[in-house]
Amino acid sequence: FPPPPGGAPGQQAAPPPAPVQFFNPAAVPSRKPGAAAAAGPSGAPGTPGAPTEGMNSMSLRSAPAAPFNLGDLPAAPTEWNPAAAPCLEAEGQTHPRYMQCSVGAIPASAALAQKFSLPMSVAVHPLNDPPVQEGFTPVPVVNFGNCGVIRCRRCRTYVNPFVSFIDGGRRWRCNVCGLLNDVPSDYYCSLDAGGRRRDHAERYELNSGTVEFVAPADYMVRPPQPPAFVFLIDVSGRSVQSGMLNCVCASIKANLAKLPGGSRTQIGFVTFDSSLHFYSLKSSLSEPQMLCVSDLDEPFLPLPSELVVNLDESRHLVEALLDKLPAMFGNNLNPDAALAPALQAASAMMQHIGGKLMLFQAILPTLGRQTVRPREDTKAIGTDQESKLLNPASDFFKTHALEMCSKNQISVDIFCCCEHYADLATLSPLSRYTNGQLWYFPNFEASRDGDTLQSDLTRALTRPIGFEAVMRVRASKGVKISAFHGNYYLRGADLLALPTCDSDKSFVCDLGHEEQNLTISHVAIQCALLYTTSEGERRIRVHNLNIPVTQNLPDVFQTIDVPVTITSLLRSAIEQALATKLMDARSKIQSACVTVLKNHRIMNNTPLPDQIKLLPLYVLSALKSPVLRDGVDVRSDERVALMTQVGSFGVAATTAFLYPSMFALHSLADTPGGTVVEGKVQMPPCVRLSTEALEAHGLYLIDNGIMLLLWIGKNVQPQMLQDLLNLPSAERLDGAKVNLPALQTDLSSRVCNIVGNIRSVRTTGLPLYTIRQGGTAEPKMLQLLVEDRTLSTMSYSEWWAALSRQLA
Amino acid sequence: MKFTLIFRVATSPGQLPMPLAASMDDEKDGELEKYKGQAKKIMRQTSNSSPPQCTIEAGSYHFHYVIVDAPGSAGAKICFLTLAEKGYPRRFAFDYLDDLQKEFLQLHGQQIDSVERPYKFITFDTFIQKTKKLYMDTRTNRNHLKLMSEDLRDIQGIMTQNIQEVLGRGEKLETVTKQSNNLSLEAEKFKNRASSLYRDLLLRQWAPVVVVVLVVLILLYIFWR
Repeated sequence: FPPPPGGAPGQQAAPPPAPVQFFNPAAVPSRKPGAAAAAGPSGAPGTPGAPTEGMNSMSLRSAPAAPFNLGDLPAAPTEWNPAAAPCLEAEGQTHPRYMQCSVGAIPASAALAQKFSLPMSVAVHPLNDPPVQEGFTPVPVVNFGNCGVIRCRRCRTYVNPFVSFIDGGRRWRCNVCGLLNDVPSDYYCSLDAGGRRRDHAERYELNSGTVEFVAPADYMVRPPQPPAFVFLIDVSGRSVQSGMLNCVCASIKANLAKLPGGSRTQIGFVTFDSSLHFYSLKSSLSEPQMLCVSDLDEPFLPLPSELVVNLDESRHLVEALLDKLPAMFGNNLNPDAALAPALQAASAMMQHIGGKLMLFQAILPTLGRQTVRPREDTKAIGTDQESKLLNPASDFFKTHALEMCSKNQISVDIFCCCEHYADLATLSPLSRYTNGQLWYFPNFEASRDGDTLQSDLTRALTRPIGFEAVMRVRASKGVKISAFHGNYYLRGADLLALPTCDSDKSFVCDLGHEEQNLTISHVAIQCALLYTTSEGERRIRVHNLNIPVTQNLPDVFQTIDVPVTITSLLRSAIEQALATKLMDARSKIQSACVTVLKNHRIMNNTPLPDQIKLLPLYVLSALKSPVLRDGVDVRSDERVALMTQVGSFGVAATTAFLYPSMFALHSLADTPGGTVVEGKVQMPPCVRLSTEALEAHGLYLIDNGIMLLLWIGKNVQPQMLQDLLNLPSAERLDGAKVNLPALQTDLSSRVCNIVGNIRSVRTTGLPLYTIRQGGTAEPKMLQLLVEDRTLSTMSYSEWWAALSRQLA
Repeated sequence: MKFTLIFRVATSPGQLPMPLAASMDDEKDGELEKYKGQAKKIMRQTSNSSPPQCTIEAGSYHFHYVIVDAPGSAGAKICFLTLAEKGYPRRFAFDYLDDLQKEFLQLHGQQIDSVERPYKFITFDTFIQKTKKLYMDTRTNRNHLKLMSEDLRDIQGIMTQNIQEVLGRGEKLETVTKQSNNLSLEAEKFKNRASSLYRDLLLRQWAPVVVVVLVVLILLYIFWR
């Protein structure tokens, strides 16, 4: 591979080898010399040969240049995982980590919104509590006791900081629908001169944007369920040989004590190859009893009451079982997996409780009512036929997810460890419709991927989690929720059914105008999640946002939040890709970007506000991301897995996925990067994602929220490798997965701190791969350098120039 | 023992009963849902005046309950309610409730007054589950039988009611409340109606006079000019 520090890899292939360095404004003969700071590459004659094949949906060919200028190429963010800025500073707004809106002002009419053209989206991350050690105050809990939860009679909005009390405190006006409600006598309090309740300061529901209500008995259809975990493990030959079984058993055993729920936790196991194996774990037994069922057509449950048991009481049996399982199947060569019957049986086993069903799969389902055949067709990739591969081959798993799982509060997590094709497109609806999660370990080998699986599983089992949840988002009269994006099942018109909801799941909803003109001054948005905590308490978590309405379109452009916008755009592009084809998805997201820039130009002839400037970069990254990218190198499994994962990523994880962070490790020594100050790891500044930024004597770390890459330059000092990896040379480090050893060197401790800090905020285990400059694995890393040109896509500056021309 | 519910009885009129703990289901059973609904109704209807021990017949199942005073509390009462098959000996059912009651009062008896959220003692379900298994197992039953014969508990004295009676009473109460609500609504309507009629009457009486006076005034005005 052409090793190119100082030039984009595709640059050599560009038709006119322009003697112009990108990003060197001095060398670019700008046509508009008076423009601010020499105008960047806009309209530069050096770039008309920009490859447009990948972007074929929009005609971005060079147009006659006009006196219009987008301005300088905006630089990518240099801060790692920046904290979301509280866009609306007022008492009573929820923290942006829970809920964020893509605009800081809502256009007052539908016509105005159309002129804005970008979706107005709200990203909700309902259980995104910060880690306890950050000195955070837990979400306040309010118990209304005898007077019941105070809600609007008509629209059922919960009382919040933006309602107004009138009539001396005897009535309150709902801020969502405007109805006057009576204040129950138990809740009455007189008002002060300013019209505020005298007890305002003590009432969390009136002064805090996020609050939890204790749900009274009428919010429960049944007593709060105990946390239940059923593990469904493939024990076929491939599972044993790859070490998956061993690794899974060891990981589960290590986490038994950390499972949420204390003394109430329920646990159960089912294993399957060509038959189903159940395990009776009744606490009075001395060792677990295995029960085989080979009838796959009508799988029945032997001893239904002894299969899912209380973990505390049967702890000794569970541990014994986990110790024994690998040995019991150690010589299993069975090449079949009856996944569908096993799934049915496992769901039936826990349907009276609900909870988490964790599926560990090592081969394609070959037996039972629903089998899955390999259907990947490499010829179809990149053509219109590809969307077929991204959609399920049969509806069996979707039907099962809806009718069995979602209905009975079961959420399915899939750990897919298949060797070859896994047809995740067919399986993934299981987790998609039940708010589960999908982890994909292509060609799993325990020696290589074991620790990643272990850390993923640990996170899945121990993160804060809510059970039997439903979520509803309400918005002021005149505004409607027009679409939801995420992993859920929509029950009724607007109720998201979430069998479980954990701290890593996020949702996006789009706002639309229901009335042509809004007469209100603020749009209120309230998200309410009703769930059962792992301690068995039923709670209603309420987040509130109150966003001003504006007649003035520039206000909307000024306050746009690009990370939320791109999260919403990406999720709807994914839905588009599944519904029609990938190319439509790409053109959708691309035209959204072009339209908004155009509209901004038409509406207000001012320079682009800083907020919006990064949108083109993120859109370009989205087009280049493996989710939407055109190309034969992305297998359909990989694409589906990423689509499912991105579907529940929060805003920060989405931006990290699109525009990864790259750190220069070789120059850490003179900076505070990697040191710990007051308990916080200092992160070094991020480097631009371009080969130009790479130095041949350097070491770089890239974090894209899914994996970590360590790029090792050709001329790196051997001492540095010795200090970091305890290796004399980079010979065997081409694409290898490594664990950073904790060495007694400054570099090692700093990098370990950085890696640990990154892993602590990500939802997956982030395996670390090393990439040697010029090695065979390098293309994997070059794909992440989104500012560079590839054979089929533009570089950032070309894209920026193309946009400028488009707007001219 | 299909399921068990422990709740604080509503002792004063405005108060609602508060569920404290409940058993976990063993399996999914559609029929059970109906009985759970009935149990909720029973919960709403128990009051200070309910008998301290009672069996309620409901088709192929029987509800059994005992109501005890919460120790260390002035007036709070706790009810232990269970649903058992019709054929299950009443003696065992009440014995089972006794076992639950002893353990529950020992663990949580002092905190009953302070309970403000439903199912606060849901962790008690593990004990319920264990005790239930003990009573469902026929072998242990036989052992129990021996103990029981010594105990010679007077089961016959416990009142037996029919679910229809119990729920009917509630329904009757509900109808009465509904009717009284209706009555007050109607009265309000009547009052409004009466006052509007009175206004109409006044209008009808005086309207012609006013019209004549007006006409005269207008005529006068015209002539004056």
